[in-house]
Amino acid sequence: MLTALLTATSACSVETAALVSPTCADFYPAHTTPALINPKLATSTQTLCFRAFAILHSGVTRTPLYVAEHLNRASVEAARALTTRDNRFHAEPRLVPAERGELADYRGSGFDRGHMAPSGDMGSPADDYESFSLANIVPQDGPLNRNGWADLEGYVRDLTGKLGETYVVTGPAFTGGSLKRLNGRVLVPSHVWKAIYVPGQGAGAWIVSNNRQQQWEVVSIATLTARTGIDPFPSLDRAAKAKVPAFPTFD
Amino acid sequence: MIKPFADDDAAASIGDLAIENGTAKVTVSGSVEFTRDQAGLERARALKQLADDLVAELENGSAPQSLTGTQTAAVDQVANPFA
Repeated sequence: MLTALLTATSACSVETAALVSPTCADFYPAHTTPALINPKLATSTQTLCFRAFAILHSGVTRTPLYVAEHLNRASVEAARALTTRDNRFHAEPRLVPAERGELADYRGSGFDRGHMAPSGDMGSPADDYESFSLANIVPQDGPLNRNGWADLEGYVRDLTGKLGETYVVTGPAFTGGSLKRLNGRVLVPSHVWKAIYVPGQGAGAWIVSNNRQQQWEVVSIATLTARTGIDPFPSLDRAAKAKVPAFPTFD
Repeated sequence: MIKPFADDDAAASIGDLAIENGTAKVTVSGSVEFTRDQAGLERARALKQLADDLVAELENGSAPQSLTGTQTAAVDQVANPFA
């Protein structure tokens, strides 16, 4: 009983969960945290638990490296019922200013502030406010953010409504020899990706280039891990990770 | 609802329509369904309010003929620290 209470507390509370060692475990399949396969990614990282998602934040990129959600039919219905929303982007107060993105970094940059855990997944004003933390944001190509990526987010909600439950991990990928940087501070990802795991059904991922070309690929979890340096679902077996899903693309 | 051009951090949504405020531009993207019920009326009123506020603000005399140089933040290129 005590264990159950403690688990519930860490999943629901924001500030107290941050003070205690945060695990955010309820957002991961089998309570297993995504794994950084590329050790260079681990520099200056910090785990942040929010009410509806968990983040690994990088003080090097000043963005999240991944954001994990656990959606179900009820959460999707609650989110859809929130028909009009008002919000404000804000710097994340739990991060030291030197390591976090600020509003000024994005202003006039030509890039959108792209949500990793989508505002459209949030079922309450409090959850929605947290999704506007810059710890949940990456510089994203505007037309991609507003069109194909928004369609993908809606597709995942629809799929969750149909199948009942999904684990979703979303993040930026930083590949290639050089990267763009905003205001001398925030790194622009070369790609953005989203991995989903449906218990009893399987797993897979999308990866899309973060530019006007918007090159979409549907890949296995194993391929995603090799491309991004992050394994979103370490608890899955090798066969599940190798399977390429029959997902649509959104170009 | 946002106050058009007043700040760079306000955001709003009407259904799946995403509205982002900015001091240089306001962005509206996505889609919205107007169901023939009270929820549809609420969305329609929100959209009308947004359009009215936008027009009023632009008519206010604060709109130049055309805006040049909206990209103000520096974007440079650096070596990938993870490669």
